[in-house]
Amino acid sequence: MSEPTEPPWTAEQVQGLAPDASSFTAARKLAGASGWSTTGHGGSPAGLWGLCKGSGSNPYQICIDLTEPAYRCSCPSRKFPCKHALALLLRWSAGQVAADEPPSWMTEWTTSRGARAVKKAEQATAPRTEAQERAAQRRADKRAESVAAGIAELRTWLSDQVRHGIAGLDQAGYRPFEQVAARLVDAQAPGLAAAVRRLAPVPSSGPGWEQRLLAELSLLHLLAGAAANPDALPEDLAATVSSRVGHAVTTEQVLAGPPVRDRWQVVGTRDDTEDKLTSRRVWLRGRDTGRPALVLSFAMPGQALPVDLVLGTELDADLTYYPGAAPLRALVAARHGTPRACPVPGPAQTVAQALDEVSTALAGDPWLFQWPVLLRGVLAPGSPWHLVDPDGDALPLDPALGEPWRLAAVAGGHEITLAAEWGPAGLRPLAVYDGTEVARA
Amino acid sequence: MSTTIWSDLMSSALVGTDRRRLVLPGTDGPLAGVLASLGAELDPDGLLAAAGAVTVARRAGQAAARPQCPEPAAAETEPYAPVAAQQRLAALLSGGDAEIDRTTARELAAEWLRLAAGRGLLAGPAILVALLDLGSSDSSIRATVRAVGGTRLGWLALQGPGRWAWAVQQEETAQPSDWDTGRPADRLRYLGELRARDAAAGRDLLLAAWPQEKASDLAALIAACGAGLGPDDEPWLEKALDDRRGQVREAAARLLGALPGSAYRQRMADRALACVHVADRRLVATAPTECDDAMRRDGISVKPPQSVGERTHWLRQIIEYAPLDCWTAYDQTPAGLLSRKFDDTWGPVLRAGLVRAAITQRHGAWAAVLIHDGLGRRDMNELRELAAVMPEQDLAELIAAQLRRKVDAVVRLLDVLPQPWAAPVADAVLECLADTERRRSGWWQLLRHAEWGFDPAYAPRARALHDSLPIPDQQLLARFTTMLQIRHDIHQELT
Repeated sequence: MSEPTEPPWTAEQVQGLAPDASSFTAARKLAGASGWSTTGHGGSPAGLWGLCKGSGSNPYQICIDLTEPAYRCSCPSRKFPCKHALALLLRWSAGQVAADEPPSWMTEWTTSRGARAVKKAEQATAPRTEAQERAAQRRADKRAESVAAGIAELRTWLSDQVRHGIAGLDQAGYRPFEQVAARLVDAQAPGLAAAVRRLAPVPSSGPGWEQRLLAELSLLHLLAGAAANPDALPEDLAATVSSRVGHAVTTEQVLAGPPVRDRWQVVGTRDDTEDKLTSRRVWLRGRDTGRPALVLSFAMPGQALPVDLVLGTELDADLTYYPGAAPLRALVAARHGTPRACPVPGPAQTVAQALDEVSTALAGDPWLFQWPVLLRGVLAPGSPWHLVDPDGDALPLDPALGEPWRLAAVAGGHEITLAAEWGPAGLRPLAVYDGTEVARA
Repeated sequence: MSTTIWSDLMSSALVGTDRRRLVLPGTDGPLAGVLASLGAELDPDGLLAAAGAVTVARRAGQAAARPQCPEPAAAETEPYAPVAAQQRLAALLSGGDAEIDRTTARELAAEWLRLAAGRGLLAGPAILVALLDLGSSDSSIRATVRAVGGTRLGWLALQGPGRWAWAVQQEETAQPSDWDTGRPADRLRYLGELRARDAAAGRDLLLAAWPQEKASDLAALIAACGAGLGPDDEPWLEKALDDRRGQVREAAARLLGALPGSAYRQRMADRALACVHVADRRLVATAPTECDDAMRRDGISVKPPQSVGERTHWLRQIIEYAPLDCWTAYDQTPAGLLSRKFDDTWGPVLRAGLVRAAITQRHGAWAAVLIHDGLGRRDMNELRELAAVMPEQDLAELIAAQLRRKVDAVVRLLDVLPQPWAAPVADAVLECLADTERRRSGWWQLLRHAEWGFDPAYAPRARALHDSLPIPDQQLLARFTTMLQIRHDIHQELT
């Protein structure tokens, strides 16, 4: 038996781990089926295991390490985690898995995982040779030249738009934007290219598009101006500009930064697919520091996104932030223990506090278009909808996202904690916490 | 402040600085420094720089709104269904999968809802929107959705779009205002409820409104007085028979027919016995030759439907509305009477009339005899109507016995049989399914009906049967077994 057991994750949280909707549907069915045996949870690190009858003669062995979490299943599925692992988690979530001593096949797996982790850590620390350094410098210089040329072209293009007028752009389609974006990709400024691509749908976004387009063009102009002259900027702002332009920062560089230890709460997650590339945003908030963080990951088609940060849990860990004037993106540098369920994340903000935080962040990084907030208040339907805090202050929800009736049903007009992304058009809800459960948006 | 600057910037940017030069007025305020540094007349870069400054300032300076909050939903008084059951419902409502198609998933969801409603369990708030959308497209399920949605459902529907209006909690009982100003359906509901509470008050209410009512409304309102019907109602119903409107007379006659010991019943019995007599153990019927005033007064319609003869029409009505018990004058039991030979001329009309009588008067004993009499011959819809008025036990025994003989003779009666099917029927069905030699017509229909008709407690037995069959036969039973297993699980999870 392990020490006092954590409450299991909710079905919502398990759903967050599913690689796709059909896996989760299949898992839900499997969880209700007969054919389970030797299920249990416990051990150290905390784990979950079980046997599930499959189509073969031997039942599948499922091992789950709840700390990362990590999975192994003896089934041939390429989905990860597979439906058996998800189903086992669902059974656990429904209270159908009892605490127990792990069987030998479970302990063997956890031991071998531990050994692999040590080996990997040893390999990662070999330093680069002098020749490698010189080659890297040459590449960097060449790239800076190319980026500078791209930025100059972008600035000319931006000026031209305003010189000739933006009124006709709603007739032009995506083409003008695509051309500029393609040039910026060639110039090795993928961040700027993505920013230009984000402009493309604005002219067809309905009434008021001219206002939105001018705002975005002007911010891009600001960014291009700053990127053309990075040496004039303070170090933090230069890092922000550099990341917005699209310079990659290596994982090692980020991990070398100062760690921030906290009980990091996973308050919201959101997946997006753009050009076949799937991205997962995991929004964290430190329970003690109150700091927000974003763990961003990407997957090509067929690749699985990392699923180690589970909505509605909190993790004692060291985070290191990417450099910048309004640090937000971060990496998990070190974990200290098992994630725990966290039914009520905090500290929640008032609307005034959230607006203050957004202002401060914008002062550092004026190009921010999303910032996580954790608000306490009442969801008020309307056009637009609002989240109204106990002081009566409210922030609008982004009307383009549709009406969040499911969240309203969960909230029932009572005060809830809402995790959301702030954006210029309004809040994008991520999850609602009603005190006992978390419902993803 | 920033608003006027912004609109200046906007109008210039729209048509282009080439066409509309832009000179910013001098400003004060937080942006004054930035804007002043751009010079008086703005080139395209200056315009973009000014627009950037205004945009960031606006975003960073966003002010809180102060809208109205909704009233919070009241607390639930009933418990939520267990977690596993909630997950099941969510899975069913999210559509089908490899094992069950979308339609079946919906039907299973409907069973979940009925069961939960019966056990006083609620569906969780996260699923309510899916239930509201389900109910909006399928009105048959609304009552159950309302039952399992709790107070939260009504609260949500009140806030939500108009298509959810059906789920707004209604008054528990109809109100007097429903009677005065309500739609016809509301008025019927009010009268019916009042009659059940206080029959005399309901009668007085109706009699007071009598002169203003249209014939069709009046007939419906009279029918609603079936609730709380008693001997006190005979005088006003008899008076209603003097009404000159046929619909009103018929409605009154139907109620009098349901009133034990009424004079109307005696009159109808006398008419029926006068039309039928016994000769040599044979039953000889003779249709009336005219529809006199007394017959018309008792609600018998004069004009036959198309392609039916007048006398046939009259005779059939007399038999249908005469109390079935009157036939004890000729024979003690329905079986005895029906075992006699019917004459060729009017015999068929007599028999058809008796069937209608058993259905209209919901007479189980007569229905049981008539259904035996007509199996395999009579119109299937009529058999189903007869089956519906039979005592469940009798129907189950009849079906079980027939299943062992000839499946397709009774397979269509199965949907009249109350679910879950009584044990004798389920056992007989399992026997049929096990008998691989005798797969005849009706076998597939039987299998489809059995998916829903079986008590889910039969799941293990169905599984055992499935496993005992050779592989090709297993495939035939796969869906049946799976469905039963899912239903079994649903029942288990909801406890």
